Amino acid sequence: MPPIAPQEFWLLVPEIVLAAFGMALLVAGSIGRGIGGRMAAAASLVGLAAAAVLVVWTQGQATMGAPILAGMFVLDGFALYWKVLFLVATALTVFLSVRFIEDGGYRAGEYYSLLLLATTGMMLMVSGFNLVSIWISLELMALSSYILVGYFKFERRSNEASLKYFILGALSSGIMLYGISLLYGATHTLALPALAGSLSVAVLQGDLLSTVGWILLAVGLFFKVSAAPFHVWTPDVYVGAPTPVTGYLAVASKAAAFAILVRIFYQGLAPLVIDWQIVVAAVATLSMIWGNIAALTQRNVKRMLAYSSIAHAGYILMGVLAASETGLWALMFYLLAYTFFTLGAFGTVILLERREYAGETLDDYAGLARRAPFLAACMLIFLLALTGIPPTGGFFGKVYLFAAAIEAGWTWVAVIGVLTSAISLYYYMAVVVQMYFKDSEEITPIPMRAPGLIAAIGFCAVVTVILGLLPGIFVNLAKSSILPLAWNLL
Amino acid sequence: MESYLPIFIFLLVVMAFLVVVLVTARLLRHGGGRTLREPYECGNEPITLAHDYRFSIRYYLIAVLFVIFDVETIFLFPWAVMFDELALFGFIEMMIFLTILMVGYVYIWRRGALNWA
Repeated sequence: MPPIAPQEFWLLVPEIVLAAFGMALLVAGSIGRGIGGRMAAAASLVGLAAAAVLVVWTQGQATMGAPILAGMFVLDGFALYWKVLFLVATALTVFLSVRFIEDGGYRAGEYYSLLLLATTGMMLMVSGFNLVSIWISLELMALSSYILVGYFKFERRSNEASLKYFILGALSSGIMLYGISLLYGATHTLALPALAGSLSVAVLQGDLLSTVGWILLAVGLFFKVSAAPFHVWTPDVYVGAPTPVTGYLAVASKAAAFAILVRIFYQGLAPLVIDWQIVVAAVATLSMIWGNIAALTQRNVKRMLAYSSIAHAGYILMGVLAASETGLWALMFYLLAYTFFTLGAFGTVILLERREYAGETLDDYAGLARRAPFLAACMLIFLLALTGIPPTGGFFGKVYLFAAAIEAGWTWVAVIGVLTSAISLYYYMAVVVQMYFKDSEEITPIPMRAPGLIAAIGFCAVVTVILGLLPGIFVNLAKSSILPLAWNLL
Repeated sequence: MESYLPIFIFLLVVMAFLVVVLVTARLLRHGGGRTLREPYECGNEPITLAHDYRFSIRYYLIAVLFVIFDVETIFLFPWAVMFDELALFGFIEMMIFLTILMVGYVYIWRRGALNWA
């Protein structure tokens, strides 16, 4: 192993700062009477902003695409893109959380501390260039989110969700680690570039060990992105978790898992592209069909959004399936748009919720257009984007993903994608029907307290529309961030 | 393939050892009574079932905390042995590691996980 220069640690300074903020919040939250919710939220926003500035600064310091710290991590445009996305998503989650945590009556310091630590894990993960550093960062993210899911510790549903997530998550991490160990046994390396080199030799020899290894590794990753048939945890966890945490899991956690899935598949497993394309096609198809059909019968909006999240994992997997540059930037663009419209939708659910869980069913949305016109309009935009209807970012995201799949010759998967999208129109529009065409007995306007939350929802709605009107800017952003990369596949 | 011969011999020795020990124990043991058939045999006759008394969840908590600081010690030993070679860099790294652990320690302490009341 080459010696590590201590100066190289400076390149990880954004993650170090974020972790320091997380730990400081943990200490501040436990000394004396703890710190107030607003104070903790403000401190975490400062930490996120500092990390964002440092992320951009360190990118200027490093040689782009050169592995650092003995090949454990890499700083490149791809990592930069995701890191900024995670920081924005986490900041929005903070805005979504403030009132929710206050109303729940739980200590705030730990909550924000865990949120920052999970984000640290995500940022390290997308920079990971070695299966070990990737796995450890993944665990940092996962362990923090298990606790966040169970944060309402006096609520049975929250406890149940946390336990289910923990047990299944630990199992999938174990499966993934086993796959990694088999890959190491077959190739004698864990560094992604070297892995590709060794695998191309192993493939020629028809090696069984590496085949089992990469399949187990892929199973772990599919679990994290909640793709069928590894999705069973999703509905219960999404419903039971405190809603801001659900939004965070649905957006940041999923984006991080997709980022690393692409990095591993496109770089480490590049020689196996013919093999993993078949698996990805099957998983994508199953996710789209199962997610969309199961969502049809849901009366709980959080549960419906959970199945919708499974379906979206299927759509996004099409970008992986394409195994091309188009697929890669289509995936990056879609997850950018998905971040905003999904967090916005969960933000709306939060605003309607009273006393932790009430106000989640479809009937609670009846007459919303009259009771809270602004909120209903924002929710309409998010639902249009989730379905993939212009003028929203969801439309172009889907167009690019389907185009990438067709371009790569996977037309039948794209056809299933279009057909299942049509099915999804039914359950998304069921909410719209409730909001705009049903009357409720209650006609009192919904109190619009929590200005931060409303601002965050409005911001998400505006960005969703901008992404639909001017997608070119963001597509170029995604394209330019993958250009200087030495992807093994592209 | 000769290189695997010692492993094969080792396997045989292990199995022979097991057979010898079990057979000897069978021949030598005295008749036994109720106490011998208890799952956690310790020579005394149990007076109640284990489920009759609840024991504190803190045992679990303390066990988890013990494991954490146990692992800390495992990291400290090789560091102490290699202290001269790792020099200042190793020292700073270990101090960062200990600081992180200390944050966790302050947290569990202040939140009352160590109160045995």
